[in-house]
Amino acid sequence: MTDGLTLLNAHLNGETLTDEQAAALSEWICAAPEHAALAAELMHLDATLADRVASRSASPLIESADDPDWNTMLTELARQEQSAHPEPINLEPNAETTDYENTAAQPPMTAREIAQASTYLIGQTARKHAGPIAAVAAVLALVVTLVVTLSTNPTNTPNNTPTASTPMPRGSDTNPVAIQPVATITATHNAVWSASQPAGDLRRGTQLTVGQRLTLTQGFAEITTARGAVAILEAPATIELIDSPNALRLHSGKLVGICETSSSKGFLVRTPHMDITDLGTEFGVEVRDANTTEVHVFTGQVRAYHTDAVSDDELQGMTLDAGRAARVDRRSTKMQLGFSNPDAFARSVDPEAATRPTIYSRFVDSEVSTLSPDKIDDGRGWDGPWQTLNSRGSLAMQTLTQDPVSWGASRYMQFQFKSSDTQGCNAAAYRRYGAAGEIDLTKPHVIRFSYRLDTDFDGQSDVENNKIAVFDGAENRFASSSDHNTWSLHAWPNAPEGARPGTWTAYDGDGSVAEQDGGKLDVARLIATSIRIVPGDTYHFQITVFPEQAQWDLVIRHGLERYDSRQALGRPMRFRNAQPKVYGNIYFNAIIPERLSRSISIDDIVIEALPESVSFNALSQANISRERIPVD
Amino acid sequence: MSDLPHNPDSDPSRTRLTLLWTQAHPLVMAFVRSMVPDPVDAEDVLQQTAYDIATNFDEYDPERPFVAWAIGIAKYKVLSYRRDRGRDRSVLTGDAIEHIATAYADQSETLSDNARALQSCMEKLSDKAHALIEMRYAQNLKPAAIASRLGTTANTVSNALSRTRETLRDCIERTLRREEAL
Repeated sequence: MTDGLTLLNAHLNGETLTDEQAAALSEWICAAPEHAALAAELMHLDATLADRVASRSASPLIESADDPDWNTMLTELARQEQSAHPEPINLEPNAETTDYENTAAQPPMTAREIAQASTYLIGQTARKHAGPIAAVAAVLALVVTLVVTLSTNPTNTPNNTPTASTPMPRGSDTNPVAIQPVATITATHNAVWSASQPAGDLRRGTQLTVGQRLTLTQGFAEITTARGAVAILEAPATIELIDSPNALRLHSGKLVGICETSSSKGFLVRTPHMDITDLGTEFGVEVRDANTTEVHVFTGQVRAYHTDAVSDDELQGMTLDAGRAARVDRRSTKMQLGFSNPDAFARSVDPEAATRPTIYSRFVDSEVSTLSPDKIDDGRGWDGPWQTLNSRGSLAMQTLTQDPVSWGASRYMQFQFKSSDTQGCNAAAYRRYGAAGEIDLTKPHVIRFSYRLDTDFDGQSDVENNKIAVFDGAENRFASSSDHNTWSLHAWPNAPEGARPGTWTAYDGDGSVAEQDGGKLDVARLIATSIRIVPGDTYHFQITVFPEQAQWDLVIRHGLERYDSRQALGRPMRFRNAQPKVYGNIYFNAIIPERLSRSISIDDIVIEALPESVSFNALSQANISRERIPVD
Repeated sequence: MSDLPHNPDSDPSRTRLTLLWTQAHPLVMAFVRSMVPDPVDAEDVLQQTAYDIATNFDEYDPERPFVAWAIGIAKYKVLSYRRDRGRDRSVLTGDAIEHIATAYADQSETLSDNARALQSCMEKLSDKAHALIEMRYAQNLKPAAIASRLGTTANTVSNALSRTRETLRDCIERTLRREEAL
């Protein structure tokens, strides 16, 4: 269906279709009455638009691309369209036409597919009828008529075309294929579904039947299978209900599967290149693109199968434990193994949790403005775009997709620090939050991000001139050892006394430094964590701040390694600065000696307020259970 | 744009034809335009359709919807245009044209409602979406040409156009549903 619709849209947009594409489009239109109906509707809209626009007095026309809003608008407009059609048509002259050939070569519809096709029409017929009985009768009528239509292959005059109003005998024995709901939409949050589907009917309580294909373009939705397995969808995502009371097909996007009951055990998620069977667990699946699918296990176990597997060993699939992840790439029949990244997945649509103020920066393709790399404005909830500061050397920023920082993510941001032959570099990129009201800077909140050092971390220089740091600080004061810091993280290749070289180090302040006290680190207050920095590895940070108490906690995850400051110290750490709020500027800073460059990549920055009721102890527990790090 | 051949005889059946044609015209025009992309050719086909409708009006069965009959005639004109001149200019096969014609006839009421609701929905579009529509439909530019004016890619423009149509469709559906509820 998507291929035909994509071709139709391309045609209406004025693209020139190849002969093969045109043939595939015709074939699609002829394949089912609802295809022709949809095509007629869109073509009519297109022709009517042309008529209206042409007959109106010409409005001022855009002649150039000087207006930068254009790109944002077009990207925004295109974003949801792309999510509805995860494999956009390639209109380059030498485009692969395999997909369209496949469409053309589809076998005749089976009874099952007829039933599936008829369910697409429920939304349309129901709108025109008085109540549910009429809708059910209409569906039965469609099923029967479709069977007749397909078996006699008539020339479709208006009189024998299936219509919803054809009176049909009721009773299940006239129904060649029983349509049973296989799942129900059990919760939504800000959910917007693709309009090319019967969108009006998709809401909490809607029952879903085999063959329904749903695209969530915005928000979150929870779907519960007839057996009680819960799937949480995060937009953009497309799923299809398949012939099972305990399975889903994920065409694109992200899904989290939760199986807490014994009846839901065995929940199956099918994706283009991997099948995942739950063995009593919570796990995330992402179909990132046409080639790549990942599964991340948060608790319990799953079994993952590469659907393109050839050897017996590969066909057996692989059991994955909590904390593990596996990736299938179509270009290989081997599964790659990695570590799961719970932060990349939405694990609840709980309205309370979902409406909690949230700021994030995930560098999703469409959220990144490509116009001005040094002012990358992505995500939501921030006070403004990224800013850079430097006292010497240079700092460039760009977003990349090759070699993602964390699994479950694609695009990420890289900071490139560069010194000259004669002078080192001291620079920082930072982003401000708090003024927009999403987060109260005086209230407890959590900051999470993924971080990777992309270049070597060598100690060929003195301590002061070679380090990396992440911290909260006053605006335009980007020193990581200043009186304008609250929480701060540091690492030196060649560590000062009291810190371990090449190891993440926290600063446990005394909470009494006044802003005018200047910027000297008290080495006695450095807390060396157990986490060493390995270039190329990804570190997941979680910083919890309690501004009124001027305290903070730090959790670092690195593969199966984990450091929790509250556990290690038995108490929270303190801010360096005494002020009863954080500054609300997250700085990523590097200092490097001359003739060196250093790249740092970050992804998945999330800032969330903590519920007021959470006590310190409860919070510590919550942090631990949220991380859910496995026992070996 | 009533393209009926002028006939000085103003008998009652003429008046009825004019009335019916006025109502059916927008839909028939939209059908022909979507089947015949070249605007000049489309105008030709529409004129021929109008001529056939006028000359064969006594064959029209008043029990059946006029629009369906008119679309049926337009379909034959489109198919014969395709046979004679336009096979290489026509994107769709004869079978597909047949199916679209049937769908037009079946949904004629809905489509007319859609056209009515479109006006207010177009007004709700952002200025930029408007300008995009203007470039595509008034200036008849292809996505690549629009893209080069706006400094972006043809795919982005194409996706934005598709999305804009979806937005309009959503709005039309909402508008009609609201009307229904009143």
